Amino acid sequence: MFTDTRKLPANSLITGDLCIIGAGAAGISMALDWLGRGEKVILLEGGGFEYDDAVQDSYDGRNTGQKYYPLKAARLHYFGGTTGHWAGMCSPYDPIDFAKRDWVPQSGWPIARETLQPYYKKAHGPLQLGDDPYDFDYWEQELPNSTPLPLDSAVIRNKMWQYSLARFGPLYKDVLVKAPNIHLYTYANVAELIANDGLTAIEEARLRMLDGTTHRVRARRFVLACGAIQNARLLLASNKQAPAGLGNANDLVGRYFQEHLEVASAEFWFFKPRPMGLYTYEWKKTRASAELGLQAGIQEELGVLNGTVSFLPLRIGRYRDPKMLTYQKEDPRKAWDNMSEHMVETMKKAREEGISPVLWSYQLNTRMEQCPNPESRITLDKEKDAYGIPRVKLNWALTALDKHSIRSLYEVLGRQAGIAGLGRVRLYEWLRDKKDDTFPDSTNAGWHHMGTTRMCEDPKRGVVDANCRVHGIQNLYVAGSACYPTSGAPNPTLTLVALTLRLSEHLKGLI
Amino acid sequence: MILQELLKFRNTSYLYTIKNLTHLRYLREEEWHPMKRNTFIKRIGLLGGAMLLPLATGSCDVTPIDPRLAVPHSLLPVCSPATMVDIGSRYRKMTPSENDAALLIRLLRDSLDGGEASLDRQILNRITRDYREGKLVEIDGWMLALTETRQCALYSLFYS
Repeated sequence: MFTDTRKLPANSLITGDLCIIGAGAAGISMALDWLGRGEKVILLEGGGFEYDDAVQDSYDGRNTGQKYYPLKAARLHYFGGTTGHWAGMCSPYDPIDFAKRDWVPQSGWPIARETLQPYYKKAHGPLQLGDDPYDFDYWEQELPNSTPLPLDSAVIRNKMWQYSLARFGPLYKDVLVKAPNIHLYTYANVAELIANDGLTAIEEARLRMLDGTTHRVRARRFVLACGAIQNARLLLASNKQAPAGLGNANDLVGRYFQEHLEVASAEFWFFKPRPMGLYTYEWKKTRASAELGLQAGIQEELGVLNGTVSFLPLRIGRYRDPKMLTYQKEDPRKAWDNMSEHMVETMKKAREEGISPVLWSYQLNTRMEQCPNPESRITLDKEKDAYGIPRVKLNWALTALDKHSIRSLYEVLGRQAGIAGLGRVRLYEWLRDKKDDTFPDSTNAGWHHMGTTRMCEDPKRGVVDANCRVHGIQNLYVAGSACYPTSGAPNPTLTLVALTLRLSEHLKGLI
Repeated sequence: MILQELLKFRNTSYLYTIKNLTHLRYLREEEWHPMKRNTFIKRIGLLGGAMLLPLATGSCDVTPIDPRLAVPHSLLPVCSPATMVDIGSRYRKMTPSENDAALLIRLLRDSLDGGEASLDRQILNRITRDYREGKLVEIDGWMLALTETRQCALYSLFYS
């Protein structure tokens, strides 16, 4: 069932069993998991079915830290969420991503990779990924031209990726609109959560329209599924009863904001052309591809974060400006267009590249987790959006371990390239000075927001518990990457859908 | 697409010329330097000639030198002569104690296994061992084996 909340009479009361706030990858995956059940599920989406700049504007905010994308353009605020323009890169987190690592502060999830394994499989459903596993051995047989680089497998691993083409908005609109037990409300912007007197349970979510109209939503359980920035913002902005915000007794909400460092870091100059099909990705054509990473034991030995390396033909990479510089328009559509136009120009130059070793050499692009850092955080700004909600202020803060880890990754790769007689690795200038812990403005992020309501069984170290329930509030849960204690090497979507489906199953047992 | 292009290039005579010094192609036009391939080969020839002569040094060590010691063959597929000179010059600046042709020659020669393998093979084996043993030098971002870096240093002494 579907309702445009703008058409409801003022001060309407919406009631149900489960209220999911946010209809992106997490919210829609959870709603789909409740299809056909007896419970009434309310799915609230702040935007409509199409992009609406007036709604998107509420995502605007200020960044005071490491250069970041305009916050307004860094996510999409409509039904389907950021899957509306995502690249679809999926790979499960590695066992080491869940582990407590002595060299990574605040590392360790309260659940293990094995716990998520069945949900990873289930997450392939909404992501439309099929039944293929992520084992390198499997894909080596399955893919044509899948020759791996002959590097020491005790040191370097091939991390496999699969590619989802799922745009959740158009894909799941009809099924959810037609579902008798799913009550989808568009333009239902949640402005605050109201708890009981003891702050032990949420009583209602208050909706505020752009024209000032308000509504209320009451449910037995509430799930925040608005993305890591909005989830934290909503908890912090719900500060009438608790000045620091709900779930924030230990000043953790919004802290540990993490991104993936996606940055051109080095060049791999091959001595001769090599088959690189295994490491090549082409939109809508590639079923799976690989990136290189360090084996877990090497990460431990070196005391570095988990990350992978992708290969971009150097003749393209040498002309490509960093995304952090080309994706700088406030309007996400214009930012996307700008980035795409730049890519067209880049490809034009790449095609004109003369014959030289550049043609068989590659730019090495890092994809790495960020060290959990309490100073990397979301807070509320003084300025308010059109709904009257304080805008967010992001302080994206990186650490020395981040830089050290990237550098170490290429030191190992450079050495292995020499041992294997494949070629030589050349670090980019920003990585060369071992004493320099800073990152240049050209440092890209993956538009992956994580960690702002981190998961830990200890309320002093985490906002939610192992079941993603907000500590101290019996009926409030967080779905998605906000719960990640560490950000892992791969892109977050597959894992956030898996984690959401695990939460969904948990909630089914409670309601 | 990339693979197809590479395969196309594989069928050109260019790749089949990757032997000895004739396969030199350079990183990019601006790094090409005024020096073209033929010039480079001539210079290498001159260098070789010079080195085949007894090399008199301050230490009065008089030794005939094989010019191959001073040509970083391992880097030829990926570095222009200008780049190798630059690497060598930087290394000498970074390691002033090795800013001496005779010393570099001795260090290079002493690091080799000897035996029946050709000098080129011995050097390449040494370079691979450097990588295995972690004897690496980072210069201008390049992660290089100590041996090939010393070769660059020696080359730069004669070239610059």
